[in-house]
Amino acid sequence: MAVPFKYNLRNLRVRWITAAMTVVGLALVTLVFVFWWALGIGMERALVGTGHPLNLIVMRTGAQSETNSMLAKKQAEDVAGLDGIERDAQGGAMVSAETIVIANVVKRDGGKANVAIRGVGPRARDLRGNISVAEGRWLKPNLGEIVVGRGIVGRFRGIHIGDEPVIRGRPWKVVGIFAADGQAYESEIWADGDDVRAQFKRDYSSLIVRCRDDATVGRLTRVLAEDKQIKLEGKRHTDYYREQNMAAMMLKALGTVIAIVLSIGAIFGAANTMFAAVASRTREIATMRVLGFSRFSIWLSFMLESALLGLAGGAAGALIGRLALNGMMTGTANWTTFSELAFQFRVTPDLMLWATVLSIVTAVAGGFLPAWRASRATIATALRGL
Amino acid sequence: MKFLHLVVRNALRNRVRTVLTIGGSAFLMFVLVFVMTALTEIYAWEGQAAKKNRVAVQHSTGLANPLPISLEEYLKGPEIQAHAQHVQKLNWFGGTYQDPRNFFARFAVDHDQLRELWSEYTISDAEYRSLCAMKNACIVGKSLAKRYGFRVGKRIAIVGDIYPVDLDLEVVGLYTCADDVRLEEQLYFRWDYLDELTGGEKIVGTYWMKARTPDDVAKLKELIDGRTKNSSDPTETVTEKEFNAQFMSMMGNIIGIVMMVGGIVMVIMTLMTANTMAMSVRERVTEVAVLRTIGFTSGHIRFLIVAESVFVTLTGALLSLGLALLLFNVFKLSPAPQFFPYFFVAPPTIAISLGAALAAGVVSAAVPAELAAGRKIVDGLRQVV
Repeated sequence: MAVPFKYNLRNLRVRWITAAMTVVGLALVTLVFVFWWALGIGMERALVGTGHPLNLIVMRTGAQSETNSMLAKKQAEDVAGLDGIERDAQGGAMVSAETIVIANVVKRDGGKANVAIRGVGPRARDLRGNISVAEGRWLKPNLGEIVVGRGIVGRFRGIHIGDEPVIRGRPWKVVGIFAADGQAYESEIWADGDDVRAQFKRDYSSLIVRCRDDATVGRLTRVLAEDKQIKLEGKRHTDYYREQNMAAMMLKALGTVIAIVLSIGAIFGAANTMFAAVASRTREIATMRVLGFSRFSIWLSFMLESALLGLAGGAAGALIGRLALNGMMTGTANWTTFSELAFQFRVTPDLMLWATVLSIVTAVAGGFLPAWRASRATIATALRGL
Repeated sequence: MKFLHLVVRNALRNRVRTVLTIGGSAFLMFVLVFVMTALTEIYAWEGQAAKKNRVAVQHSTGLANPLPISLEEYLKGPEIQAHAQHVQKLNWFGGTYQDPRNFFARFAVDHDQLRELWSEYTISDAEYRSLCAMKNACIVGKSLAKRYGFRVGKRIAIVGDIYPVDLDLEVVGLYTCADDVRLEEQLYFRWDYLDELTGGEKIVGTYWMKARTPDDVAKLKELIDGRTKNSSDPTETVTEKEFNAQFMSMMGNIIGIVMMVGGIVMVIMTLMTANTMAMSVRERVTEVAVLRTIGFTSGHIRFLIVAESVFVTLTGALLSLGLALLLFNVFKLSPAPQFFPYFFVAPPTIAISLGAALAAGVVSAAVPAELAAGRKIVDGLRQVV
């Protein structure tokens, strides 16, 4: 026969101060875990999924990022003439030659950070498919107009609509804010390609090519790799961003390690609470044994009580994390591109679930020995003791 | 001190509980020590920079933008030389050595200024002469050399990414840095070699120089930035400290986030110890009343309870510090060698950890101690525990 669940609830209510302190401790451990992972997931979401799976990004061989790459007009034209490239209704090749430069912009806290400026042509938006104007309007070519990604506009100074920031020796006019489904583009400033090339004295950086089908992406990658004359390499657009994801993986790994060490600390705390719970109920337990509850039922009952503490702490921590952190905007340097990557904390339902599970496991691990001790008590001794 | 025995006996009264609390504190403190050490290491190279009066000239649009070679003549001219000396071109090469994870700094520099400008480095005369004699020569920090097995005569091939060229370098010497072993993590090769490979494009990343006195820095900023202000490549002249600080700024509030973890850890630890102390005091009501009866004042009682709590947290802190010192300082382990070639628990970290443990001990005992000390003797004796 199982010990009624109500018994556990009532016990927790009687010893509510101790129980509450344990729950708060567990909630804080959960919060730390949620915090790191929300950061990692947010960063990952900004990178993984950016780009279009049918796009090929073409850069100079060896350049690890668009910011390092450089290609000449002639090279761009050669690539645009390759077979298998998607064409629009007018028969023009779906290709966008872009120039990415880096400029430092003053942050709201007064420091500076590097922001990528993407000089684009008319097809850049078509090739992404998810760039939309969130505020203001899109830029017009050759007027020094820029549109700012939604991810950075709030965290930097002087790049709101109507501002005229001076970048690389000339004033630019912010005419709009754009959104890109939370992708890495939201950390960039987009400008007219010719404007950027003139002001930064640069050539093209990369070429985005829409392939007709999935097989063509692989084929064109091979064609470029084998052509030693052209000195370019292609990569699936989405892979390019996925490969920059190392920092997010590090954050998650570090968060996990910290959470595990903290959880071990919390296991000790939970064990303490449960030992005290058992000690103060020695006679009660013996009485239950006399009434016919088995050792296993008593063990299970105390394990359930621990799990309950874990559930309360975990759920509270996960919920607080969700309410306080989810959607919060932050950013850090993406060292691959040497520029700012803005992203949101993401407390996903999955993360909340896992965080709660971690907390329950912690509490149950802490409650194991006390519960075992409770179930082993000799009835006669326990009843005799004061 | 005369109560030490009593405090320890009190703490060991319920061994399981005390051991669990100490164990818990030790794990929690370990996270704090870890986080603080990571922060110390991140800030270490930023703080190093202050003393040598070095000044860097970079593009005002940011480091990713190159500077014109024409500036060199001006910097080496009399106007600047009155305030500074040892002008050196320095480019960050980037690139990949065998595997992208093998991350270390590779700088192209004017080798003839290397010893004077970076005066904390020790390079033997013979090795320096080899560097001057061979165009593709390079020198590496001793500590870096040890990690990658670089020795004199070793060829190092580095595939370029920022620059579309590959380096074929030969190690001609190892430098040491007595000030800080962390600075032995760089590779320096010749700027003229890089320029030759890039076809004489004369790309300059930054110019460095040594201000003659600290007072010259402001004048240098005024002269250099003033001169380039209306050119197509305006500059920003910064001290070495400001130069390094810009990377911290780029990393953004990640650092604040790391600090917050430390704060939360302390709260968890305080809660856990408070729980223990509350339990411990609750079952000792009669005992406390007896102590009061035989002449202990309520101040004594308060002290005894706080001391017990501090004993627990400090023991936990000492255990975790011991473990951290053993792992990181003795066995020289690093959680991520490519980012933290060194991961040393520094004296301030030890002091702050002990202080935090002390504070957690005092705070967590405050309420139980107050309750115990404030209870009337008769109430205490009457109560059945």
